[in-house]
Amino acid sequence: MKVFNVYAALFLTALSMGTCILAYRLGFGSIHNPGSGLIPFGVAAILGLMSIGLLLKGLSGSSGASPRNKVFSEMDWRKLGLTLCGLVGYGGAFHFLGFRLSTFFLMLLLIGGVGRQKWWLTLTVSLFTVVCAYFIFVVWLRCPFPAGPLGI
Amino acid sequence: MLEYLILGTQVALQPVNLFYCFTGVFIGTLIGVLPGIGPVGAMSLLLPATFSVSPVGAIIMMSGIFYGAQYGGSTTSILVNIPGEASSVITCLDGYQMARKGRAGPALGMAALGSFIAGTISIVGLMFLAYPLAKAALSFGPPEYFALMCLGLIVLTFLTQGSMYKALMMALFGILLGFVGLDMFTATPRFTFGVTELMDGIGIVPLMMGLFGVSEILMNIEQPLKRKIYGAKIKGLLPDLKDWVVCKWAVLRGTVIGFFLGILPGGGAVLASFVSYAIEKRVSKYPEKFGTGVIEGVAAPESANNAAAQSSFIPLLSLGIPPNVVMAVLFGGLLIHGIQPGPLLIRNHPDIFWGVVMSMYVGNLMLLALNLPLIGMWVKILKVPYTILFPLILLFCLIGVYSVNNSVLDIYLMILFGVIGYLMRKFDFEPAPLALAYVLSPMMETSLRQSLNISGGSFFIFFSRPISLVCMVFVMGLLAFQIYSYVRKKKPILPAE
Repeated sequence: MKVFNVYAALFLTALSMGTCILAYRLGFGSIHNPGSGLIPFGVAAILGLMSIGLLLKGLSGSSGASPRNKVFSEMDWRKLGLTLCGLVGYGGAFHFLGFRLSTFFLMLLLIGGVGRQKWWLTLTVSLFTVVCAYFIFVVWLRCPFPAGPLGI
Repeated sequence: MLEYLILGTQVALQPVNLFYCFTGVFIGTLIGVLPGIGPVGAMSLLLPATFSVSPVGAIIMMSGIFYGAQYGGSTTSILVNIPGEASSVITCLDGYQMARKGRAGPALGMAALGSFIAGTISIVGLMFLAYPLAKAALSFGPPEYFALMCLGLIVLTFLTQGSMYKALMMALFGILLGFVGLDMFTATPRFTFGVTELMDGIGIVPLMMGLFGVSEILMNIEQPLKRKIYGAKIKGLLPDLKDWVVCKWAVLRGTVIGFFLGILPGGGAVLASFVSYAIEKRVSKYPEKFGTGVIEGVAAPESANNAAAQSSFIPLLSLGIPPNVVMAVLFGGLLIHGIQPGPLLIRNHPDIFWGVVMSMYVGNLMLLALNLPLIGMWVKILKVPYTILFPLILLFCLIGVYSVNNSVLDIYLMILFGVIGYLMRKFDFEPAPLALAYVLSPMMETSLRQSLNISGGSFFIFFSRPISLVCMVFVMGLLAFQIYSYVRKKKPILPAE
């Protein structure tokens, strides 16, 4: 886990340094009347110091057999990538394609592409989900979802 | 108090509130049964759906999800050996072994009945403790609140399964996230990068759904759960007299342990179930048999997690401080509905407080009906393939998070926190301290700044008032204990390699 501690520590150190700079710009005020930046600066500084501690711990000593490969070998990049692309794409297409079409395509991708279900099952479940979601959220709960350019 | 009990009963028994209570416990049982989404994710998911509901109905439903999930979680632990809930992990040890020996029925029955007894006793405790605590809390000032919240966070990081050092880092990260938005004292935008939608801060719904919902699904889809469901027909759900004789003290001990651990900041149902199992094993005449299918190993943790689920409402409703992440979501829900949890809640909104309390009795009865006669239905739901379930859960997350503010930014924030949560799990960082710290952050900052204003900039204000002094002594004691353990190499505070 050493190598991951280094990655995490680097990220958190960068985050805390950035926060310290932004907090400094906000102004510290005084200790009896703290400004907007004083407490964020203090918290970020403590986080930064702790991150450096984690970084030093991660860098010190021999790492032995690297667990990096083990953690990454367990990852299914195809499924993860497809799922995340689907989620980001849903956000992007939501206003453009509308609620029903974007939901239908997302379900096709997740059930057929990620879940590797048979095409007829994918199609049936996707259609059924869109119809149910439409009636629950749009008709019953009256959520104002975009209809899309085609109005479907 | 009698008039309040009558008022609460009237509120809880209104048909619309009975409907919300049933919906809550039903969804709670469902998400408890289904591995992959916990009560935090489900409550965050349903938060937007409660906007058109009355505050009392919304809180009754969300509370029902929480304690319903404790009931449902045991079903998968016993039948599949996969905990539906973190608080049911320990139930797997003896519950699944009982199922393998053909005693799934009594295990499920004891889990449901033990939960019912513990939950009911805990509600009585809640009624009698919350009211005087809220009265006492009226005299609390900013230093007391700041010290109490510090204690809650430190205890939570102390109790996390992994490294306390990393948990503390996550708590600090969560506090930083809570600073995003307008400064409450000066109305200065902080860390918003010019994005108008961030002026109100990062929403609780995208953060919680991302950290606990999306990340869990990302973990599950890369390593599909191999579910081998107990196949034989489940019969004889009611435990026999011998089982009751063996379990009566286990249920009572579990109830007491769960009740007190639920109140403690940072505690909760998970801790209660583990502690009660450990104590039960210690006091047992045959500790070596634990893990081989002993019914007390099911009764004690299941009673404890339900007692804790009910008692963790006490700090939230009486002090306005959420003791764990689930209560933090409920806290957010109350705020969205314009209700400020705290000592004045009971006085200003007795219908909400007593209505929610009395609905818990009703909810417990409903859960008993849902979990015993309808056990076959939950087993069937368990057989739905995960490849069909996870897209539905993700879709509900997306729709739920969008409908809060009709903002696509919230969808992206949820995905971002989902990825962060996924990496945190991979790298052994706990998400719970981050989530609780994020919720407490605005209150902590406000009370710290108010305290410094009162004291003229002196930090000794936290050591000059009895309640804050006690809390601070505990905070420093816990930190010192960890450092001492690290130095003595008994329990490293930095992650073991």
